[in-house]
Amino acid sequence: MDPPLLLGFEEVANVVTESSPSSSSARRLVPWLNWDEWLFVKRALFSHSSHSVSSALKRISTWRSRGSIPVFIEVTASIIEIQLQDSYFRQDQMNEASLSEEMLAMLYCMAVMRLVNVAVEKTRKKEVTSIAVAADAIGIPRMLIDIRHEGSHRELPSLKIVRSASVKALDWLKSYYWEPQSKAIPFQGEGITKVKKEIKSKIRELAVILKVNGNVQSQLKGKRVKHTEFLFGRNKLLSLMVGKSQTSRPGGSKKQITKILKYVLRLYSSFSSEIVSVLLEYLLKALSSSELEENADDASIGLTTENVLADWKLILLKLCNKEPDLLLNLLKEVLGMIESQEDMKREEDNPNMGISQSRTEFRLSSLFAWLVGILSKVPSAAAHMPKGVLLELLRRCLLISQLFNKQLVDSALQITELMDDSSLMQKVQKFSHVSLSNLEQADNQSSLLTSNNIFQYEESIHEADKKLELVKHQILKNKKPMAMDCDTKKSQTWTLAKSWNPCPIGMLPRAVGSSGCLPVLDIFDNEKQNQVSSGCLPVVDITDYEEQDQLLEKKESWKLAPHGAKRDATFDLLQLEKSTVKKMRGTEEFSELNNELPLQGDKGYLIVGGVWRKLTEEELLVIESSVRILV
Amino acid sequence: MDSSLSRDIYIPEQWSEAAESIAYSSTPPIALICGAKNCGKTTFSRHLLNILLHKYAKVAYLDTDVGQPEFAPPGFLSLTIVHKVTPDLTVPCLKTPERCLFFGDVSCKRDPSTYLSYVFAIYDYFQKEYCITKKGENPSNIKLPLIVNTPGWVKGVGYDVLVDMLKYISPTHVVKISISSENKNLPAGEFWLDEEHDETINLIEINSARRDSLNRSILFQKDARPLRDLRIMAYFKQCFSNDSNISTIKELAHALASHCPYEVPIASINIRHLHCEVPSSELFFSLNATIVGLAVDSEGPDNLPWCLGLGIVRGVDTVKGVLHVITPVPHSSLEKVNLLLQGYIQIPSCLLQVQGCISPYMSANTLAIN
Repeated sequence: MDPPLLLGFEEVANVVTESSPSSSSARRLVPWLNWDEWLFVKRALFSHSSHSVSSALKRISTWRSRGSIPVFIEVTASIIEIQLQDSYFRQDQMNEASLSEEMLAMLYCMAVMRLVNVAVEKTRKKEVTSIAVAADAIGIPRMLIDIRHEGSHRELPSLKIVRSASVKALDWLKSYYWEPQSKAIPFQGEGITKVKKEIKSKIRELAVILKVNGNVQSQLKGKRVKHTEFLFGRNKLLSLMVGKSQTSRPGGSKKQITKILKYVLRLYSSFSSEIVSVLLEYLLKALSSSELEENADDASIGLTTENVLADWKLILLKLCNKEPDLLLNLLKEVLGMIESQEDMKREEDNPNMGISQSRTEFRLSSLFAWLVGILSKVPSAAAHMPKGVLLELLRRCLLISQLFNKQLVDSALQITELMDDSSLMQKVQKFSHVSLSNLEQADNQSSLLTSNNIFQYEESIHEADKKLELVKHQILKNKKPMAMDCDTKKSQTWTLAKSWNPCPIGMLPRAVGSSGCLPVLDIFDNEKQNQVSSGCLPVVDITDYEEQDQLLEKKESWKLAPHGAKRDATFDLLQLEKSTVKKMRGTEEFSELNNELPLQGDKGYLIVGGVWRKLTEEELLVIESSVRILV
Repeated sequence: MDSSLSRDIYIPEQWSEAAESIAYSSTPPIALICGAKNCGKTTFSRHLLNILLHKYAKVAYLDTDVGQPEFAPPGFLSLTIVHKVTPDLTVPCLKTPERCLFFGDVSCKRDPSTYLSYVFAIYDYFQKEYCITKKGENPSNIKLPLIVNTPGWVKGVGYDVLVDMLKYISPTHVVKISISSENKNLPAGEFWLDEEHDETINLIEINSARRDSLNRSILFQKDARPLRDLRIMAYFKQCFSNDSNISTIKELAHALASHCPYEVPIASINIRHLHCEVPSSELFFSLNATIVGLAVDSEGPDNLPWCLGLGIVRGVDTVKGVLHVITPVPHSSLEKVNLLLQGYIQIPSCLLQVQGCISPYMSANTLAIN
């Protein structure tokens, strides 16, 4: 008894007219996830190893199942597949059950006919030009057209002729479709360095334009501006550039700004880590060069981070407004750098840091503080950052700041302010008092145990104790619902996702922002795991064995994969964005092995998920064989 | 009998007479409507539906046109029980079918035998549910009238399929709509019968509605593909409540990208492609960002899975081992779904192009020759 739903759409006309976009800037539906996939197929399809060719053909048949495969790819695949069956082209293997010559000739002939028909039908106006003329116009070798005619109206051409025709056809297809298309791909898949260069140049452009805008406006107000050097360190060339462009008109730059912004942000979903690293490079360079200047002119006023990075502030504000995930990644990255600094310090076991190290640390922490300042200024980021994300940042920040870093403590306070949680605020404030007092103690170097001091020490111990209790409590609380979850999960297969961020269809959501990240769609076949290991990968975390157990209990032969270990190394590099989590495969054999686990003697022990666990030989083998080294 | 309140739809007298003769037969009729493409079969069937609803409380509608189904999204064969009169004969509306099977394609040309088995399966279901078989009596009495709509493919493979359908269903009334160009029509008379004239069958031959001054049929040429896209979009619009403010396609696309999907563990779902073999290592490449039919395995007739509706697999998370699926099928019915059927029904590309959220499958640098 549901109410009838009418097709109530206003834009019916648009749908009809959008059905056949003819310009190359229009978007078309394609069956591949990204151009790397297409390039992989192209390389493998025309390679000499039958293994790669068959993997490419497999992928093309998958594309066919999606229904939107370009017709030239299909035709190429059919010709190559026929050639695979032809012992003339297969030097390595002799097919016992090979096709007869008649059949091969028929197949080749059919493929060539399809090629000519399909290629020509798109370009010719039916009654105006003949097939031969239209085919000539796009450069199809005459031989192919003759074979088509022969095969349709007369007797089947000989195998020798159609064989050579197939070679010609492949060459033509390469020149007509494969090469032009691969030239049309942005960055031509040449690797990350080219992408990085592109990002760098775009950001420079953006900075210059914004600087010009700012300069012109402040000139109008009659102020003197002198911070050009800070933008790019001491890069004289760029300062000159800025100087020159200061004389050009400011009008029209707004359009340029939005254009560049759009361009950089479009790259974000596939190249987020590159953009982050480029920005950090520039920011740190700016900071370090300002320090050099400070040393040079003793008489100058101490420049704060605010002043130094004032120009970058505008750029970052604009970028992060559109893409809040960028700011999050920047913050995480800086924290990571600070953490690794601390680790290095700890390893060297030298409590007195070298001057350069302390400078780096200072620089990084001031950068972090500055970024947190921006976080509170960017309206979209502050509003949409989920609490969990901020909490995670806060946690990391507090952990590091224990090592007497006042700036980080202040940043932590700022982050807590954003979260709008008064109880948390109190806790963090207490913590900051404790750590600051510790700092002051260290600075003062006074170890007099006055009554005040004792009281303070006691208080700090109490605080620490309370915190510890809280943490313990949290851990216990978290463990219980997990046990509950396992039961309810089994009865409810279809559940609404717990949290969702908008993202494009076909991608997975990011923590914040709506660009989404590309999914990893490979399924790794464990039987072939020990064979081809031409692809190289860094070792990835092995976690979540509880989930593995759950998987094993269910009867399925679907396996999860470590990140594409069978493809080319370059391909892997391009795909590598984040470290992936490897899971074990769940097959029935495995579940049997697991059940026998307590009966076997002590096999290898590994720390998995923070707990020592016994592993069977099989599991060890799997882990061993999936350890790869990035060359 | 003024049941068509719509403007612009012209019901010729021939048609109303035909409809009424069917409606006023003594027993509930089984009426099958056939004819060339665009001749007006669907319009006639809607009109007939309205007429029958004056006499009967409920009317069953068996839709075998997978390209442009009446009440279901494209790709489905369905049996719908209709209670209410359709006021506007020009606009199709979506209803939830009683039973449907997902064929996965917009025409039966790739697999006519499977298509036929689906048609027969749904017809058998109708017989089982809505017929009273009195002991000793051969033809069972049906309680509800049944209208069978057919696709407009009347030559070659389509013709053979139609003949088989007619033989199996043996309707009481066959309405054959002819257009002016004779060679595009079905053969005259009872073309599907091998033997002679069968007394129990009423063949009603009518002409298409509009003719021009030279007595040529004016066919309303529809652009099939955009219409299918619209139907799919209307179907997925049901994911959102009626009071949500979605009136344009752009808004729908945006809403779908932000809509919280269902998460289903990959381990508890079987995935099958209806028309080709997908290598098992390539499963997710084939599945990501496609439309699937949500079916319940091993519950239907002859092991054919009854389908509950369509879903968009909008993401595959191999790390967590879940699929993200958007579907308007209510949560309570979803629990039974354990089979995803892949076919050739494509997501309308306008749904993939959202400002700022463009799907990676909509590529900008493809050559114009494709």
